[in-house]
Amino acid sequence: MLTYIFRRLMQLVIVLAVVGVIAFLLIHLAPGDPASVMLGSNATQDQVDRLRQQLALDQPLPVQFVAWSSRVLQGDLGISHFAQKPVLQVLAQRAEPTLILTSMSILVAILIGVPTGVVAAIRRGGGLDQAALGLALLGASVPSFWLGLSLILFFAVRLGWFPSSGILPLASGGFESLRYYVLPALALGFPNSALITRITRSSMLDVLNQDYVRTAESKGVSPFRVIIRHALRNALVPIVTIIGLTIASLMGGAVVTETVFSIPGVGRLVVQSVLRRDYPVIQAAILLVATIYVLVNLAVDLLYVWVDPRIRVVEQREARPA
Amino acid sequence: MKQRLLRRLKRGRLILIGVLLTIVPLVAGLLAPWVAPDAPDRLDPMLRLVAPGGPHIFGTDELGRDLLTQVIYGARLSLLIGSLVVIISTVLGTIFGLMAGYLRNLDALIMRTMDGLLALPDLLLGIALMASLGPNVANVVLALGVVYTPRIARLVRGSVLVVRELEYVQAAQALGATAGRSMFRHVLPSSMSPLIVQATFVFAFSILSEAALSFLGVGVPPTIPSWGNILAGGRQFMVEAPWVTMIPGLAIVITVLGINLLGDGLRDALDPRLRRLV
Repeated sequence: MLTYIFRRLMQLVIVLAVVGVIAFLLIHLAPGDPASVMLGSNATQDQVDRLRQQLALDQPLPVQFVAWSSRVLQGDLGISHFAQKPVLQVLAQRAEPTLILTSMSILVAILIGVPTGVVAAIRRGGGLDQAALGLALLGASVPSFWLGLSLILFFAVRLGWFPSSGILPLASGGFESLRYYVLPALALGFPNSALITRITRSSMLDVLNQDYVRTAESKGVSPFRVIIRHALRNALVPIVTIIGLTIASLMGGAVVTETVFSIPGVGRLVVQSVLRRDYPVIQAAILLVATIYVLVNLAVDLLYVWVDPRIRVVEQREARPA
Repeated sequence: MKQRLLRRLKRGRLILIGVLLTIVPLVAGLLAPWVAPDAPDRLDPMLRLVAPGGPHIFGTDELGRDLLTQVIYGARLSLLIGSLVVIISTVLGTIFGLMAGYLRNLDALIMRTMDGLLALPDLLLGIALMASLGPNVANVVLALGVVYTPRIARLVRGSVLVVRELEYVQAAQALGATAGRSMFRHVLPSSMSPLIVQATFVFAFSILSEAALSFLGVGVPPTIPSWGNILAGGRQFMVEAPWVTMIPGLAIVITVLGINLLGDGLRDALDPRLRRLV
């Protein structure tokens, strides 16, 4: 178990290092001198020279990368030239709306995806199955920003049920502020439910054919209990994996959804930073999202190994050199 | 027997519906200069936000341009970008996948790079790349090509690892077939089916991503009609002129739905093993 965790941690470090290289190269791919690119067009020559020296831009790229990554590892992600504040501080100010939005969206995606997938599997080949697959197909084909605009038009403008845009900070609005997130969470959650539906369906189909499900059925356990306690529980591993991956994809989708609903979160910040050429913010956002992605995946993997000892054995067998 | 036949027909039906949905925007886009009722850049300030019906079937946009024309030219651009992204990511992904599968000492380097790219959501990576490259059509193609390469590379590498252990491939090698020969004679043909299916989905993804990038203002420059740009322009007038956002949005949904159906149908037909998986 410990060697398994250690191996996973090593993989995690390598993936993050690769993401670090990507983030680092972004500035060097951009046309122009990285120091002036980072400082923006309002910087004085003096500032540019100072930053150039600080970043060791006269050194070869690998040396620069080592210098940059050692600063990042110490928590120094640079200064946002637009806000004139440390990047971490800027990101922290924007964190609340994005956290609420992504949590509510993942909830929406799970609440749509898992029940739809279960029902589709039980009614395999029937009308409900077709309807569920159709819904999943629609989810995979709808651009989330357009869905967002349509929801605003219908539920905010026409019906007036929900606010059309903006947010109310949790501290001042309490429960009321969650109403601002209902439409954005639907717009972001529904497209992301598609994959959860499909995986839940196929995973349930595998399990429903197993002997123990038939045994439970024949000994008179109620159908509902068979499905929830015996089938769904055993079908959970792939479903949880895909939910983990969905969390990462939601963070990408948040960029668009926050723009559509004028939510002042991290996603909106990323788009604004691209338009302002505020590269340190973009780099930090990339590193942050990748870190969350690998940590969520690690958590999911460790969860299985802990829950299901069979996986541990398979992992160890695979780890052996061929 | 009868059931199997029915299932085959059903699969065929999926592909058929997919083709029907995709063919309209495809043909309209290809023939845009001939089928569009108007010139794409002709604007009439007197006819801003005219409702659908009358001489302008889909109405006009906020600059008084014919919306049907804009949507047709948008189809042209979206499908062009989508096709180029598919070509780039398939070629790069196949090269990297083959190299990773065959050349043991490059495997770790290539696949860890792919893992790093996969650790970022498609859209975020696309936006970050566009931030460096600058907004224009070629860069959208390049950025999305990079975004979707890892999926293909992973798939091809997986096939290589399976196929090269097969007896007939080993036999060919024992008889003196070079690595290159066995790659192209044995490995590529056997990974063709999943590759075609994956390429179809990449096509759908890249159309959605391009629309999102342009909508955010970091993709196709706003002067060029693309579905994302029309939506972005119509957004401010959404309440008084909902057709400017609804119609291009529906065009995206129909096109992507068609491509996804095509992908599902092809997957069922070409690769029965995958049918239940995703």
